[in-house]
Amino acid sequence: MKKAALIFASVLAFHFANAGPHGGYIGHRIILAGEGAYSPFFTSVKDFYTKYNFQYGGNLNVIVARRTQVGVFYNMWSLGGNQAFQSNMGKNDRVNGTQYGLVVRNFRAGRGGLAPIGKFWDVSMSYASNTYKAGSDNKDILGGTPENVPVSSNQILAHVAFGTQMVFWNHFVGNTGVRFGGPIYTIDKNNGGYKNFFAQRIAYKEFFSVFFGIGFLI
Amino acid sequence: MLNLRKIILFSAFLVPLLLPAQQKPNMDNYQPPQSNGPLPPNFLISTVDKYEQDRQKIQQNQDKKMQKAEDDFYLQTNYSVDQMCFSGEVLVNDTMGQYVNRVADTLLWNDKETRKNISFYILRSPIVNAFTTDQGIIFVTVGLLTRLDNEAELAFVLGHEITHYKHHHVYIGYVEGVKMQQGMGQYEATTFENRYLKRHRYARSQESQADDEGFDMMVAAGYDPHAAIKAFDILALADYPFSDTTFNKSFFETNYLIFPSKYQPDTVKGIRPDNEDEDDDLATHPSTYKRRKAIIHKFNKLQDTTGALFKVSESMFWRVKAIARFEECSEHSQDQEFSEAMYSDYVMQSSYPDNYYLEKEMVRAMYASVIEKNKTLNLDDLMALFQSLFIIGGPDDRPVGEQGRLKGFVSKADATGWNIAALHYAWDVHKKYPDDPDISYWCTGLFRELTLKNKVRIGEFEKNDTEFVHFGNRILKDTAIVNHSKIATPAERYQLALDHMSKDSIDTYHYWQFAFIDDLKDSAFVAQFKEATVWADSVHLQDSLWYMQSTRAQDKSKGEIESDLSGPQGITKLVAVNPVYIAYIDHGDDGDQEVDVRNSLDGHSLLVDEMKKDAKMFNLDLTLLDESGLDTSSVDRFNDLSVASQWFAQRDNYTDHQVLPYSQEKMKALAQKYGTPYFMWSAYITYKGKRRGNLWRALSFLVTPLAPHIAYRMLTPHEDVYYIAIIYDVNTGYPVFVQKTQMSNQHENKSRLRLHVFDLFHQITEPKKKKK
Repeated sequence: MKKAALIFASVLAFHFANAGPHGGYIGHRIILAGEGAYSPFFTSVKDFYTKYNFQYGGNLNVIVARRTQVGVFYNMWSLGGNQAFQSNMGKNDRVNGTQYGLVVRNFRAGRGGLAPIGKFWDVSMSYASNTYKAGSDNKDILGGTPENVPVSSNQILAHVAFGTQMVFWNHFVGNTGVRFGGPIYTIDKNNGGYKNFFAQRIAYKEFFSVFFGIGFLI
Repeated sequence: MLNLRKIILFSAFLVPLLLPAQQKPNMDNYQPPQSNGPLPPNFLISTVDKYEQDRQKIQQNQDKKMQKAEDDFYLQTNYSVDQMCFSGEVLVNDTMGQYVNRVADTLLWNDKETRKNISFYILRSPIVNAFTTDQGIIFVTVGLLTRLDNEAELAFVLGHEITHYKHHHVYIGYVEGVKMQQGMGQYEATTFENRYLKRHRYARSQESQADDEGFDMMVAAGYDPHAAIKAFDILALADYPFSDTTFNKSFFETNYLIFPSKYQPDTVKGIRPDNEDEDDDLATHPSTYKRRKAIIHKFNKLQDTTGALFKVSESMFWRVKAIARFEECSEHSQDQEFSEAMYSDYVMQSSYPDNYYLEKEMVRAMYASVIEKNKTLNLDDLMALFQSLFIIGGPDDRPVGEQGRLKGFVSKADATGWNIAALHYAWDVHKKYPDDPDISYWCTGLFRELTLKNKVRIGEFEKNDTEFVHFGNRILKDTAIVNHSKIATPAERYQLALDHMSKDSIDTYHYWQFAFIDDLKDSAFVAQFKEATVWADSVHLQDSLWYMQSTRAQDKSKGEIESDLSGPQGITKLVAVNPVYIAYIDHGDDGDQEVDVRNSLDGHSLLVDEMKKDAKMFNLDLTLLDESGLDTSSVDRFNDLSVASQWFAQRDNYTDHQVLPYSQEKMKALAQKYGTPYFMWSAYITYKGKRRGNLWRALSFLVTPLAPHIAYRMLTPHEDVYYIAIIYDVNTGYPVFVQKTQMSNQHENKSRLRLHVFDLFHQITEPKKKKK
């Protein structure tokens, strides 16, 4: 991740060194924003029912071209566990997730978009890590076999989003839209068995979400 | 009733007999009118300031709805009047305006207070009209001045308009309209139809009052009251040209270019006044018949029916009328009414032959009509198609009047023949005035139209006089209808020969092939023809590409149209002409749109501020050629705005590869004056209306996970936003930068406007990228 951040910083530095004082929103080209996303469906994680799947995080975007902004983002979530049939999970169990990624957002020329205002589509690649945290009522913990519980499930995700972004009062950015996508590669290699089965159960399985963001132009 | 009709008829014929002979002022060195002298205060105060001043008049102790109605009235009228004043169509203190104001001085000689509050301006429009505003500005159109026979008629018209002003008819009319809509006052407790009838009855009473007092005013000022009765002829014939001089196609013919007779309509319907006694229940004005009758009634009560036809100046009147008629030729072309322009010009040329201005305007109108005719599907074709589909044989579909005859001729003439006639005429005028760059430029355009659109090459014209004579003789001999030896001239024989050819033959036979027998002896003509041919051969590909580009632009109905004309331009100095910001409110299914004046004014103010700010940021030397920052000495700038506005209005009608059928020279002079050839026209337009399809949204709200988005959509109005900026190099007349953005179903806000202006200035100032 550090390496990715370094590369991104280098790209930005190169871009600023080679660009005039133009572009962006009347000269402002950096957006620091917070974003929340919710799943409109309530059963997104198989067998591990979430009461309400909500993700939240932050992102830093830079307008690099007339209709393009690129950014890095960090999201996190914490899903409450619930008892399902034959589940050995406890109701106080949680899955805590984090997600780091890169996003390229393109403002649609066909709809009159100019970064950072207008209708857009974006693609993002990210790394997500879901960590299982057993609650005090967990049967495995109680059963004395904590080694069966995996620490995390790590995946590479790809998403595509469609939305709209606006600027208010010259300094505030708001956006909203829908995002589709999911894991394209699972990093963890558990060689079968219960651990693998469990890892799959806590793996990232959010395929559709609605997001809202609020940020500042710097 | 019958007696009255006789009197009216008698008066209509008698009064012309009493008229003085028309004077014919010298128009040899005629120059189109322009504004002069110090700009009046109306042009120096901003719309917002005028509105703020006017709203002080609103009485606070009346119904809130009426307070709002008055407030809206002052806002809308000030906005509309200012839009008109800075449209480029208004002349201030020009010869015509000076004369009209002097007549008004005479009318109001005993009412200095009223006179002080009224200003008269000339509106460049061929439409016959005069109208009053509550602000004391009275517009008189060029079209009206062309129809007048004497000063007394003008005095009656001005008296009518002054009465409207004195009694605040515009204001009262608006307030009555609001009361009618809301069923207040006299409109309470009645059906909408009755309210509507009452409202129009009230409007007609205002018109009658204006006629009544206008008549008294002119009589009191010593004008001949007969003229008031005659003035109604102008009204009754307002839809027809100012003259019905016989048209003959020979005007466009030469010894060697003769059109088939079938191109010219044989007969035309005579010009008749519109139905004067029409039912006026649903009209804001009483019928002309009733108005004339009321004036005759007053006239009959007069003790003394004598008076002066001219009080200010007879010679000035005739000069003003001649100026108006000269100007009307140009106005018709400006309004894309080329047949009307040619007919006005034709009529004036019968009085002023060899007049430089008229001949030049004729070339312009002919060239513009050639472009129109050479279009794949032109307006005439569309109209003919429409008539053939939906109008089944009217009882009398002959054209109306002599102007109708000219129109019929131009419409029936084939595109190639008409192009050749225009080129021949233009070349003759060019030879007379070789130093006029506009005429020379239009000749180039006509050569190009002929070679590119009509695909005619010089070889087809390489004929001689003997062949011409032989052709006529041969056809006549073949048809054996007449003894051709008795026909006097070869041209007459040729005409007869053409007319005896079958329809199919005439459609395929190139009757115009002898047209340039004389012109081809002129080496300059030959050189230009060949040059145009080379050009036409080289642009076939470009033309196809252009066509594809235009098709793509049409297909891509949303969003910015990308083309070679976008991207960095490296412009450092720019003139922005009258930037426009208009917010429309769409009232629904009937397509009724209204300008949201408050938002339009706010948006315009923001737009101009952003332009100034961004110009500074990008080191762009920006001149705003608009209504802002004018003072009394800014009349030159006002004229510049007028020239540029009219140029842009014309420029929008033509595609890129054509030579433009209007004067480039005035714009070139402006380019020199402002130190840059780059002039920008920009418009920011929003349409806000009711959102349709909410029922489906409400249903989908129940099943879809996108509830917040749908709720947002349901609660906000539908809005479309259009941003357009076009920069022309006015030395060439071609655009160098085009940005057209259409944002459907997106909300306009200040940030979006700011960003687009910023982006626009960013684009145009960024140095051009070197082509690899």
